[in-house]
Amino acid sequence: MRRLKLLSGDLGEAGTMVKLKLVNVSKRIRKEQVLKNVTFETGDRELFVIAGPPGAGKTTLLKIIAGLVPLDEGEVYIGDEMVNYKLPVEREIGMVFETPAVYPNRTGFENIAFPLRLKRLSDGEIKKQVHEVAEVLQITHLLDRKPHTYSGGELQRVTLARVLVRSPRILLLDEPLKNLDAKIREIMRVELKRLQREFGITMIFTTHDQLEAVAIGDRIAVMNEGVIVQVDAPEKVYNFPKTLFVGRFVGSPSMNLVDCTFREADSRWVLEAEEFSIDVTPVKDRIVTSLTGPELILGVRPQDINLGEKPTSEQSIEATLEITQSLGSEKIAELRVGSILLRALVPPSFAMKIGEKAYIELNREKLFLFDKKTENIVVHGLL
Amino acid sequence: MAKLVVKNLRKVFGDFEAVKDVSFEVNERETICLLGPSGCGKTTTLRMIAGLETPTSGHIYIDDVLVNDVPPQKRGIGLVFQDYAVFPHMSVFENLAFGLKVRKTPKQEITAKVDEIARLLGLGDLLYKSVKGLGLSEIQRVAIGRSVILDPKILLLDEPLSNVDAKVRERMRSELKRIQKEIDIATVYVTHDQLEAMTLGDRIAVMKDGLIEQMAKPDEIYASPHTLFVAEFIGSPSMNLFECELIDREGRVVLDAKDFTIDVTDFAETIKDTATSPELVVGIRPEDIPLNIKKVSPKAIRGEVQLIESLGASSIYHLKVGQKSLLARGFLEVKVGNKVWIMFDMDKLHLFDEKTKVAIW
Repeated sequence: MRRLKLLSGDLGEAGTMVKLKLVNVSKRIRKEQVLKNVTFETGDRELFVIAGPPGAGKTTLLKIIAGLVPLDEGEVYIGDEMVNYKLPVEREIGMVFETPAVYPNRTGFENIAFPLRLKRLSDGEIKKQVHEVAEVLQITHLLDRKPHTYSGGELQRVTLARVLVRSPRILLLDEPLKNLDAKIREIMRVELKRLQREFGITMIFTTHDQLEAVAIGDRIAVMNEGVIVQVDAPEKVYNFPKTLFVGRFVGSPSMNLVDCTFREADSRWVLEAEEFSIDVTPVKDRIVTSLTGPELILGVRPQDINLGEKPTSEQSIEATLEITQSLGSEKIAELRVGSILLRALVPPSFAMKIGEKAYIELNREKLFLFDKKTENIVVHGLL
Repeated sequence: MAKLVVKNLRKVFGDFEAVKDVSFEVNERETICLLGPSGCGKTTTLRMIAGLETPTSGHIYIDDVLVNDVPPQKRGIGLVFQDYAVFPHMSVFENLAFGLKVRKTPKQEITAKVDEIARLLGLGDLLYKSVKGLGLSEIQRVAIGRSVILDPKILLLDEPLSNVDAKVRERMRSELKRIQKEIDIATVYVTHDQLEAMTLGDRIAVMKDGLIEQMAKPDEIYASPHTLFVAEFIGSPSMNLFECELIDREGRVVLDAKDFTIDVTDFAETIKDTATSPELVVGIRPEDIPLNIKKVSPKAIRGEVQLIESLGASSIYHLKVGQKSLLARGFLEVKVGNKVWIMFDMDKLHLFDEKTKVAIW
C-alpha cells in the first residue's frame, strides 16, 4: 500500500486508528424528522457506503459528521474523541460535494494549492505537496489548465485533490459521481476505490445507486427515511436482506415481489399466490417461528427464475412472455402470470417469442419471504 | 418508404462542426436510439429533425416530404424533453388536452381523445389530479401523452431518463418499453446511456464526433462492434482492449500483447488479408473470460486479483496480468491478492486494426 508522506505525517504516529462512530444521532429539520437514531461505526481505513433513495437523509448525515449542521441528539466520535462541539476545521474531515466546487478563474495548481496557502506553507512546500497529490490522482497535466477545459471526471479528480491535500483524517463524499456520464461513472468508481486503498484513508461515500454501493463498498449502510436499515458487507446485503426495503433496493433488475398467503391445504403447507402456489412443508417450522400473520411477500430475484418451453416439474408455473429487453451480456424477460408480472434474467441466446407460453422454475434455494405487516425477513431459502 | 429519412446532415456552430455527415432512416413503428458521449452531436441531430436548428447542409424527409423549410409545429413531430416541461399548475386532463385546445378541436373530440390516450398510458384514474402531486413516472407518461395525442408522425425523445435516480430509471425504462409497444409510433430516442439504448432501441446508431460509427440492432452491435469506439462504448463493464502485434514465431502465428500471447495460426490468413499492418488491438468482453483457480490448460494465463466489485449475482474482477489490467466478470471464491488462471476463446475475441480503428475479426 502506497501512502503519501504528507498524509501519514499528519495522522500522527503511523498506525493511528481512524474510525468514525455515530451513536443515536437524530435530527429534525422544520417538522420533519430527517434522521432517527442513526448508529454505526466504520472500520479503520474502510470504504463505508451510505446508500439510499433521494430524501433518505444521506446528505444531512454527512453534513452532521463534517460539523456543518448541528445535531439534535446523539454523539459523533472520531477515533475515541467525541467531536460534537468541534468546529468543522478542527475535525480534520474532507468533504466533496455533489457538484464539484472549484475556482473557475484559477488553474488546477492554484485550486489545489489554495488550502495550503491558507495554512501559510512555503512556496516550495506547497509545490511539493500539490505535485505529490496530483501524481497519485494522475492529474499533473491539468495543473496548468483552468477548470473549464476539464471533462467531468477530471474536474471530479481536481476537486478530490484539493480536499486530499489538506490531509483529512476522514474523507466524506456526497454522491460524487451523480452528475457524470454512465461510462465515466463506471471508471471513476473503481478509481475512487483504488485511491482510498492507496491513501489508506477512511472514506464515507453516499450514493442512491445500489450498483455503485455494492461495487465499491467494504461495507454498506442501507438508509431509508432517516433510519439505517442494515449495515453489512455487499454480499451480505445482497444475499441476506433484513427487510423488504433492502431486498427491493439492492440488486438490478429489482427483486420480484409477490403477495402470498401461508396456509395449510390437505395436510401440506403452501404459499398461495394469486395464480400459483409453492409447497413449503419442509421449511414450515422455520417460517412459523418468525411470523406475525399469514400474509407474506415472496421475493424472487430475476436471476433466480429459470425458463423453459415445457414444464419440468409439478411446480412449474405457466406464464406468457410479454417483453424482452436486451442488456448485451444478458436479457430481461418480462412474464405475465395472471395479474402478476415477473422479470427474469435470461442468457442472450434466449430465443422465445413474445406471446409464447413459458414455464417458470424458481430457484428455491434463493427465495426470500418477508412479513407483509412488519416488512422484516421471515426466511431466506425455501429448500 | 421510411417514415423519416435523414440524408447527409451537417451542422456547424462557428468553427465547431457538431454534426459532420449523418444519414439514417427510421421505419414505421421503429425506435432508433442515437447513442454517444456528450458532444457527439446526437442532440443537435435531434434538434435539426425537430426543426429547432437549421442544418448547414443536408436533407430531412418526413413521410417522403422534404421538411427542411417547414417550421417545427408543422412537421408533425412530438417532442419530449429531458425535464418533461409539463404545466405544473394544470391537471393531467388539461395537460393532455392543451395541444388540441390550441388547435381549436371541438370539445367532444378532445374529451374522447384524452380518454383514449389516458387509457393507453394508464392515466385514467389521475385525469383530474394536478400534475404537481404526481410521481416522476406518471409525469413522464403525461409528457409522452401530451405529444402523442396530436398524432405525430414521429416522436422525438431527448434523454428523458437522465435526471432520474438509478432505481427509478430502471423501472421507467421498462415502462417506456411498454408504452412504445402501445403507441407504436416511429421514434428517435437520444441517450448517452448504452444500457438504455440497448433495452429501448430496435436499432442503435452509435455516434462519435458528429458521425455515426455503426447502426445496427442492439444484439448485433454488442456481438460485433465495427469500430474500436463502439466496442468500448457498448457494454458494462467495458470490453478489455490491448494493443498487440501479429508476428510469426516458430512456424506459428501469434498475437503478442507483451504480457501474454494468443495463438491465431488457424486464422492467420483471414487476419493478414484484412489488416493494414501487424499493429492490432485485441478486445474481449469481461464475461467472455472464464476464470479458474487452477491451471486447467497449458494455454491458460496467470493473473492476480487486484480488486473485486461485487454486483450481487456476479462480480467484476480487476486482474493484473503482467503489466496489464484486465476485467473479468463471473463468480469465483477468491480474495484480493489471489492468483487466478484465465483463458481466451477465439470465438469470443474481437480484433481491430490499430491504425484504422476498424474491426477485422
